[in-house]
Formats: sequence, structure tokens, C-alpha cells
Amino acid sequence: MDKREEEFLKRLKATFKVEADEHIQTISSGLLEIENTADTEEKIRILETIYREAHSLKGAARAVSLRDVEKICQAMESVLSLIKKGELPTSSLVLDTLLDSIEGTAKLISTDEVFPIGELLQRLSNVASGHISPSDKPLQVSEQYITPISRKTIETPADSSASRTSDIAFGTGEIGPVVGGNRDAETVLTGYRSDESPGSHSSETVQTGPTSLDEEKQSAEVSDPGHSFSPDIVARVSSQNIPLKSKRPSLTETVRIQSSKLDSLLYQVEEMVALKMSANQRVSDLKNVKLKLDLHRKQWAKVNPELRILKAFAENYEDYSSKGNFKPHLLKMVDFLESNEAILKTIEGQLKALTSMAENDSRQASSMVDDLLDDMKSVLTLPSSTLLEMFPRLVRDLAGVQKKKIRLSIDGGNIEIDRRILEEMKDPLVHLVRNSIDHGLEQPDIRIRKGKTEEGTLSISISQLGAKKAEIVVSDDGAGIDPEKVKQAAIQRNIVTEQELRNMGEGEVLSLIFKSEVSTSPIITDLSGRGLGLAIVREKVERLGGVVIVESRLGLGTEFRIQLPVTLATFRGALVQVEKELFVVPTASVIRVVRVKHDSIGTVESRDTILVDGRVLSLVRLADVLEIGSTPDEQHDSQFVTVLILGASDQKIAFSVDAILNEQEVLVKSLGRQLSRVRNVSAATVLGSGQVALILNVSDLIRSAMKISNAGSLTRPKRSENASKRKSILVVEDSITSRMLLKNILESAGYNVQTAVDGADGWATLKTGNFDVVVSDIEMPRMDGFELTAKIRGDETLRNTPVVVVTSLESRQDRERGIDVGANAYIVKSGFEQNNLLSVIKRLV
Amino acid sequence: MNVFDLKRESSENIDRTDKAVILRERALNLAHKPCVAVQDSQAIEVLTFALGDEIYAVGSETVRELCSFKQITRLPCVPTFVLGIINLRGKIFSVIDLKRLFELPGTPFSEKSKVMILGFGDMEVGILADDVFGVQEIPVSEIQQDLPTLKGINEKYLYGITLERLTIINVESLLTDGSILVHETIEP
Repeated sequence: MDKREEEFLKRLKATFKVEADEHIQTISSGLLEIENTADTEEKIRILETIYREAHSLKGAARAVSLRDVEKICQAMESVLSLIKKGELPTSSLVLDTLLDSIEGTAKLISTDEVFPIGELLQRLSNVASGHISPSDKPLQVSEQYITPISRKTIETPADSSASRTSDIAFGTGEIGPVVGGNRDAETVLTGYRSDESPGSHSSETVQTGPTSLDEEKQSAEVSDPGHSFSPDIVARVSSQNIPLKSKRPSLTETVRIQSSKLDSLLYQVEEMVALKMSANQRVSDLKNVKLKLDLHRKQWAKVNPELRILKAFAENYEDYSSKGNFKPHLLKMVDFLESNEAILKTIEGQLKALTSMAENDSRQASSMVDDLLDDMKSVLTLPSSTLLEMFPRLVRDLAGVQKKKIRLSIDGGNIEIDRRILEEMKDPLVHLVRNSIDHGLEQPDIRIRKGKTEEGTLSISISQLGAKKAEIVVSDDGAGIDPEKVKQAAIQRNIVTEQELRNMGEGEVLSLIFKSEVSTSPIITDLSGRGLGLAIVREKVERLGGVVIVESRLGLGTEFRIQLPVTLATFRGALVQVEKELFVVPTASVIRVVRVKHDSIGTVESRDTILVDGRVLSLVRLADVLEIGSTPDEQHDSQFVTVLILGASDQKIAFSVDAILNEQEVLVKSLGRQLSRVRNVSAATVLGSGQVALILNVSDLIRSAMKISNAGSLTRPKRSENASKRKSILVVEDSITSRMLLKNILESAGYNVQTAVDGADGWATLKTGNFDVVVSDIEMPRMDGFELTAKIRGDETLRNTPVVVVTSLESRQDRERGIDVGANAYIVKSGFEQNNLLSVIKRLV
Repeated sequence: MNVFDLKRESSENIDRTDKAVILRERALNLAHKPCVAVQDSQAIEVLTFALGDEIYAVGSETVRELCSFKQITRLPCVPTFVLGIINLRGKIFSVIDLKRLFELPGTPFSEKSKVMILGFGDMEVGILADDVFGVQEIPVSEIQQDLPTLKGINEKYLYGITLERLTIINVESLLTDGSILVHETIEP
């Protein structure tokens, strides 16, 4: 193929992917909505949308010659059209098949891989052929699809006040009374009649009058789904047709613009903020010049009498010495000095005028740029539904895995929020929802025993709080959080002392769950339980300038409220200098700025510390944390050290810097796609001078600082000590591949690893050596992982050895059995990630 | 009868409809690409630049922008091949040094140094070039795709090499295979 053509096709495919994603998203969320909606007219509307989307997807797939996608869409369309015609119920079997198909399609498109679609097609065609043909059993169809209520409506049309048009139509059997505008009602009639007496269809059509052919065609398209539901309902749909349409903005009100174009616009507007700031800078520069001039004026005023004396002296100077006549020189000089005053006065006047003009310009530029930026930000907002639409599927899947019954209620999809904030909030929300499902909502049997409804309710709602803030609430009616368990976990992890706990209110106790490592879950799973999630949720929310609050009532439910700005705002930052580089520290994280004397720095366990407000804080050099700069000792040219005390997640650490220059407004700019996440640096900003400065990530800084502290001395990490204290792990696994994989991962993370081929072998090995952790599979010959764990727990000497169960089984029963026999962590292989395993082990040893 | 006479005579004899037919035929003939020419036109357009003493090229469709190498802000805590970030009309771009990535010898920056902003899909990154020469077309037939063992460059980043030893870089795999992506977290 021609190279350029190939390139073109590639670009085309990229465009297709974007389009296809939208279709797929709409289809799958639509299918889930159908599943959860009892409202029949809503179903019709959604079905119509899904059908349209599938059709568009098919067309698009054909354009880029993705035959497989096209085939699946084709088959889905057939199924959908049967549902529309009422020849197929929206049973869970049908919906599941459709959902799986759309998932398969998504996979086909996203991976570019060849993927056998035969099975999906077969399933779709099975579903399609399983329908009951109306021509065979017309009566049964009406039995099945016409609800008792609507039947009643048909028999006694006058009862139905919902729609006069349909009543009339049915009452008279004539089309005449139906006004042209309401075509749906016509189809109601024809559709209904065709169900009851298939043969009469054509004669009815004739009655519709001269325009019948055209209208029939149109109306068939508009209200095709009507066939599957009662006439009463269809008629109501038609009467609601207009309001339904007006819910969505019409084409003329919205414009579709590529987001990259908007981004580039935003960058340009943001650049103008730098302009605004530099205009500001110019004004203060001018004012500085004026100050200097004023100083000069004062000095001038002081020497003015001297000048007069000098002048008089020069005028009367008559001494002709041998060295020549100085009088003309002196007079010239005095004259010049006198004229200086006038010149300075003029300059001063001009400077004053210039300053006030610059001030004016700067003020105007400021307000214009601020307005522009505000408008630009509002352009970049998206309705919050873009964030919410992923949840129905997620909740459905998780509920399925955990065998829980969950009703998801979603509210507030039309709040406009900055696209970037929505993007950032995705992970935290997913986490909260997973948490609710994993820990909050109970199993159906437990719920019934507690006198609750069998089905748990999980609700996500977004609402606007004033003009600039929005609130996201994730709540469930599950078990709630037990404050006692939180207290225990916090004490166990040395986060608070018992004394501190006694002084805490209930709210404060609950908010401990946002701290790293506090988890009330008795077992670690890959879903949750490691106590990191909520800390990350809080970090993300706070980084966006928001707050997160938790409220919970034991046994009744939990509620997380997240308050966020709706647009990304500029924030204030302290500009600090380290090793000649400039960095910005968000002012919100700066607890204090102090200057301490060198000799007041003390050492505790060879770590530097300072005393602030009666508390000892560890002191680290920011340059060391950032891994830049030279040896520490050469810097001590003054007797003071400038120290910034930073705090995040209730940790406080003092960082020494070379200088703190000022505090100013900064605009956050992302580091770009390649630098997806950089340690200690969160973003960049452009200073008034045009220089780019990095914005530091305070939570990272604190973590890095703790690492440095933990390594012992600031200057040299103790490698030899690490080696002598290497932890040893026993891996019990029957599959050789998994065994080697685990061994490899753990060894490269610095552990000593021994292996055993099954539970019995593992037990024998355990008796011979000293192991810090046991990592075991569940399904093994001779002795399985549960049995091994139980044996370890029953043994005098081994009972405290942590056991991590790694398994391909993911079921509640297994997990619970894992807890019962005393495993410390339960990791499912399907979600198996190296980091996951390593961090779990790190936490356990 | 000479040729001119014949031509005049024939033109007189042809009526309007025939003329249309003939013109159409000619147009079709002209529109038809001759087979040989197609082969020759299979060429790719590349931008050539220097890395150390050697000349490299990237497909010109991947070059989003070219700018002189001015103020760069260094980044702490990143792999050494990341030189830093620059501000281009309000947008921040990272700049990477292919010499470090490919383990090639050479001086860091010179007066001729330039930054090429390369893009593929969403991914955009600045590449430091020691000098940028210009755009040229290279016939596909002159690009050798099977490569002998070459310098430090990983084979997956190579698109091909020309007869003049011009190394063409595969920007797509360079930008998308994840090895230049920096994503580092701090384990608590």
C-alpha cells in the first residue's frame, strides 16, 4: 500500500476509535439503564438511542474496514430491532448478551487484535432466534407485553386521561380525529391493530389518507418501539415528545470542538496571565525607580544650601594661583548642578505620569485577562455525567463478583465541572465506590437479618454549592464504619496514642481513616484493605483544592462528601530557591517559615532536628530530597538557616532552603504527557519573568524526606545493614511458572526466597528454616493453602508468621475462608500486580 | 499530404460529439497514473537532524514544531535522558536527549541546538537535536528495513536506514512504547 495512504488509514482509525468509544459508552450505559428502569416509556427512548448508536457504529466500522466490528453491530442491531418490535423481552439474558457483545466490540477496537467473534455472533443469533414470532402466536404476544393496566385502558378508553388522542383513535377506529402533528398516535393504532389482527394492517393504512405512504414510513420510524408496549404508553410518549426533545440542547446551541483546540486556546489565555503579572511587575519596577528618585531629591534638598554657598564662593573667587584660573570651571559646574534640579523635576513628572498610565494598563489588562480566563474555564467544563456514566457498569460487575444486591442511584449529571477536575476525580470516586461495595454494603442474607432491605443502596450525587463549588456525595446504607476498629487500627499503626484518642470527638476518630495505613478491614485484598486508598483520595481532593469529609453511623451507612472547586483556579505559592533553582511550594501546605541558628540544630539518632513551638521536627535539606546540589557543608556562609515547615496528611517536616523569595499567585500547568508522574514535582508554572518554575508535591516531599530519615544518616544510606537484614520468604506454589515468577519478583525486590512445591513440602520447609513471610497458593496437591495457613496458625513457634494467599479463586467464600484460617492478605492472581504484592509484603514484614 | 494537412482535415471532420468523446478519453488517459511513476512516487518525507556526529531523520508528519533551544528548566528526580521542560506559548513540553537514551557519544548542547516537538496521537515530546538540516524525500525503495546490528539504538526505534547511512527513527514506537514515559511514585 502507498505509504501515505497507510498513514491516512492510521489517522482514520485513530479518529474512529474516538468516535467508537462514544458509541460504545452510550450503548453500554443505555443497556444498564434499561435494566434498572421500570419506566416503560423511558425504556423506549433508551432503546431508540441504543439502536441508533449501534447503527452508527456499524457504519463507522465499515468505513475503516473493521469487518468483525461491523458483523457484531449487525447482529446486535437485529436483536435490538426485535426488542423494539416487542418480539423479544428485555430479559437479563438478552441484556447480558448485548452487554458482552458491546464489551467484545470495545476490545476489538481498542486492542487491534484478532479476537474470535464467532461465539458472540452465535450467542446473539441464539438470542435473536429465541424470540416468539408474533405471526405465529399473536395472542400470546399481547398477553405478554400488554400490561393489565393498559388493557383496561383499551377496554374503557374514557378511563384514560393520559392521552386524549389515543383514546379517540381507539374509540372511533378512525384516523380522522388525529391531527396531523401527532403521527405517533396513528402508529399506535396501526401497530395495535396489526398485533390483534395481522391481516387488517394494510386496510388501516389506506384509511390514513393521501399522505399515508410517507407518513406511515415516518411514523414507523419514530415510534417503532411502540409496538412492543401498550398503546396507552405509546400515546403518552407521543404527548411527551416535545419536552423530551427540548431536554437536550438542539444542534444550533452546541458546537462540537476538538478538545485539543480548546486546550491550545486555554494555554494561550493562560499565557496572558503571565503578561498580566509582568505588567504588574512593570508597575512596581516604575514605582521603585520613583522611590530612588525621591531619595535622590531628599539628598538634593540637603545639599542645596551647600550649593548656594559654593555658588557665592565661586562668584567671588579671585585667587589666581600658579595652577591657573579655576573660576570659570567652578561656575560651569555650579550651573550644571542647578540645572539638574530642573531636569530631575521634569523626569519625575514624566515618571509619575508613566507610572499612573502603567497602573491603568495593568489594571485593565488584569480584569480583561481574568474575565477571559474565567470564560475560557467555563468553556472547558463538561457535565458531570461524563464522570458518572462509568459507574452503573462498575457497580453491576462488582456486585456480581461479591454476590451482593445493589441498587445504584445517580443524581446530578448536569453540573458543569472542569474537564481536568472530572478526570482527576475518576480514581478517587472509583475507590470510594469500591470501598462501599467491599466493606460497606452487606450480603443480602445479612441485610435481611438486620432488618434492612435485601437490596443495598449506593448513591452517588453531585450538586452545585454556590457558583464556584460542587459537592460529590457517595453514600451507602451498609454497615457503616466502626469507630472502635478505626481506633484499634490507628493505635496498632502508631498513628495516635491512647491519650490522644481519648481527647478526640467521633468525627475526628472517623477522619483517621484518611490516614495512610489505617484500615478496618481484617484482611488485605486487591480490592481494598491496605489503608492506602482513602489517603490517596484525600490527597487528590486536597490537591484540587477541595475537602473530603466522612460521616458514618454504625449499622446504618456511610457517607463521603467531597467539596471541590468547579474550575481549576490559580493558587498561591511560596517561591523558594534551592541550589540556584526556583521552586514553588503551595502556600496551603506551608505551616510556618522560620529562621533558625545553625547551632540550634540538634541531632537525634544522627538525624538533624529543630525545635519549633516545643515540638521536635526532623529537618532535611530540600536539595537532598530533590536529589540536587552539592555537599551540605559548603553552604554555611550565614549563621542562620531558612526553614520551611511543610505539612500534609498530618505529617510535619522541616525543610531547609537557600532562600524564600516571595509569595505569589501561580497558574498550574501540567508537565506534559511524557512526564506522567515525576517524584516530588506535581506541575510547573510560568513566572512573571517568563521563567518556568516547578511546583513541588508536598505529600511526595514528606514521603521522600521520611525515606531519607529512615535510611538513617542524611548523607550515606546504609546498604550493608540492609543486606545483613534481608528478609526471607517462603513461596509455596505448585505451578512452576508461577513459582518462578514469584521467586523472581521477590528476589529482585531484595528478599531471600525459598520455594516449596505444595503445602506439605512447604510445611516441611517451614520447620527447617526461619521465614519472615509465607506466600502461598490455594489450590495445591497434598495440602492446600488453607490447610497450610491453618497449620501455621496452630503452631507454637510459627503462629505469628504472616501468610499471604495468592490465588486465582475470587469468591467471597474463599476470601472469608482465608480470613477464618488466619491469612493476613489475600491477593487474586487475575488482578495480580507486582507492586501490589510487594507493597503488601512490605507492610507485613 | 503532410502531417499538418492531415491534422487540419481530421479536425474539420470531427463533429462536436466525437470531440467530446476524444477529450474524455484523453482526460482519462492523463488521469491514469502510469505504473512506473507510481513506484517512483512511493517516498517518505523526512526531517534530517544531527545527533553528535551522525545524521538522523524522523518522518516529517510527526514534527509538530521546531524551536531554538533557549531557556530550559531542569527537573529533579527524573531519568537522565530527560533534560527538562520548556515553555512554548504557554504550554509545557518535556525535552529529552536521544543521545542519552540511545547511549550515543556527544556534547550536551551547542549554539546550533534546537528542539523538535514530535507528536504521535496525544503524546508530544521535545527532542534535542544538535542541528537541524531540512526536509527531504526518500524513496521507499532506498530504505533498508532489515538492519545490521547498530550502535546503541534499540532496533524497535528504527524505521530504516538509507543508502547514505541516514538513520530514520520510528517516532511512533519511540513515543508510544512506554520506555520514555516517566511515571514514578514514592512508596510510602
